[in-house]
Amino acid sequence: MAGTAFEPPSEAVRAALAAADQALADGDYTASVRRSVAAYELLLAQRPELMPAPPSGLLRRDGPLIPDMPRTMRAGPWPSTMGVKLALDQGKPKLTFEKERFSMSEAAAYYEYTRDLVDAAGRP
Amino acid sequence: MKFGLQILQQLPRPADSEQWHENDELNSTQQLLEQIELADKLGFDYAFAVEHHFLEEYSHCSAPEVILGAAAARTKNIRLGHGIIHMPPKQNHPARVAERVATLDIISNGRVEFGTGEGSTVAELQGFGTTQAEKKEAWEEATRECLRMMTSVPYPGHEGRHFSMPERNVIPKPLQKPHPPVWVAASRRETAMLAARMGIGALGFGFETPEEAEERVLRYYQLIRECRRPIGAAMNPALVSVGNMLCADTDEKATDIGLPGAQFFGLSIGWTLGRVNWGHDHIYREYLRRVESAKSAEERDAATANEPEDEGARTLYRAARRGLFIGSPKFIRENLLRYEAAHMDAVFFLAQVGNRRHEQILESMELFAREVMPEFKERHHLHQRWREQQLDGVKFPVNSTI
Repeated sequence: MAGTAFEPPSEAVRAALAAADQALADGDYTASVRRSVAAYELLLAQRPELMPAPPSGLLRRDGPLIPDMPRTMRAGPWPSTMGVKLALDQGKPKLTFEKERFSMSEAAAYYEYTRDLVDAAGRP
Repeated sequence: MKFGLQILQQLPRPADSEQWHENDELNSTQQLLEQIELADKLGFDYAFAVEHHFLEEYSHCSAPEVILGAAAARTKNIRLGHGIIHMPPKQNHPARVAERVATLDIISNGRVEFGTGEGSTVAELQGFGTTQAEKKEAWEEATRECLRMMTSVPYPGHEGRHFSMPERNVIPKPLQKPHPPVWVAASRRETAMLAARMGIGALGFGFETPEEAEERVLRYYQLIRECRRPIGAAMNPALVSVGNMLCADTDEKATDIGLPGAQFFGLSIGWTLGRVNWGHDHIYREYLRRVESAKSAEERDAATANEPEDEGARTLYRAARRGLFIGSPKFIRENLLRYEAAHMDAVFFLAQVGNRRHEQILESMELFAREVMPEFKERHHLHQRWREQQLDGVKFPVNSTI
């Protein structure tokens, strides 16, 4: 982003994230996942450079023996294994729902992932 | 800060053979029991055993309940943890888990830590017919019901999405009431936060820097205070970070002995995620081939900014940044101090990885226990005081051994 003005997450992103948090607190887990996904899509549309790269080193069979900083716990890829798959469609991220209903654990995980990314995007 | 062993039971195929020698699994199993026994004598707080299936060379610990039962008979004080049990019902029926955990708790006189998880690799999940899309939901349903089985007389039965069973009284009940401390494997940050929302400990298998750990600790305890729906009848607020450990007199000696095992660990964990030629892949030979080619390859590259110029120092610097504890007592102490400052509750060590020899592992544990561990244990009461402040206002019962 060298030479590009810093652009914090938009109000729309933050509103979708707040709605996801509220739905989680209300026990409406499917609604929470849908709003977390909406926040993530809005954020990527605004800041496409935030789409995380696959982890380096650890967790890759062809990684080097002495990997670079394996930021495997933070800034990992979108958690596609919980029912919302992330794929690239002509270079653009596309999120697809693989099921209709989500549990508390899935909703909490999607919310926390998105929240961490939005927080990071809010820091210059 | 407390300390534990994370038992993985790596068993590289011998370089001179397509398959293991006749007694390799026997020796490996007996040695890891001796390592747990020594850890108990040295004052380590925990020994957590993994459950992995079909992951040749990476982990031969597929029946941890048996390993921990044997360990219970050979130890007195060390807490015996599942790190973790695969909870999706196709892998382990929740009633069988409740029975096994309670029995181990009785045999060990109340020393069990109940670590839970989803199972991560496709190889393991597909082996039992669990899909990735259902595994987290299956973990949640099975864990919640398993804990109800431990506390309900009788268990009223369950009609769920992932398993159903009629009313039964699941026996025996665990010695610890209402049930042993509960954990979940958290190789990703968001799973640690999910753990907090459910009031359980997070076993941080994701490898992280002290800076990342600090952020994770603060957010975790914030969510613990806000927890409204604990998954069990008692909360276990606790965070663990896991790292590879080899302690030796000098940094150079520790690197010589310890780094190959850490490298093999890294390669073999990556191997579990790709296509496998079951019964025939030879990961250790592949590792040796990579070591040979790496000697001239760019991965042994020059130092980047902020890294030491000296190659040996640079290797250690990178190891420390990855949460590895491979070095002299002084090096490991300084690394641990940063996790202590981040208020990490406990650090678990992968001590047995790759081809590290049993004697080297025992010596490393003894040196660590003699030169490094005492000061951290002496200061643990300060951490407990900080933790009590974090838990102020928590509305649910707590059963935690931190």
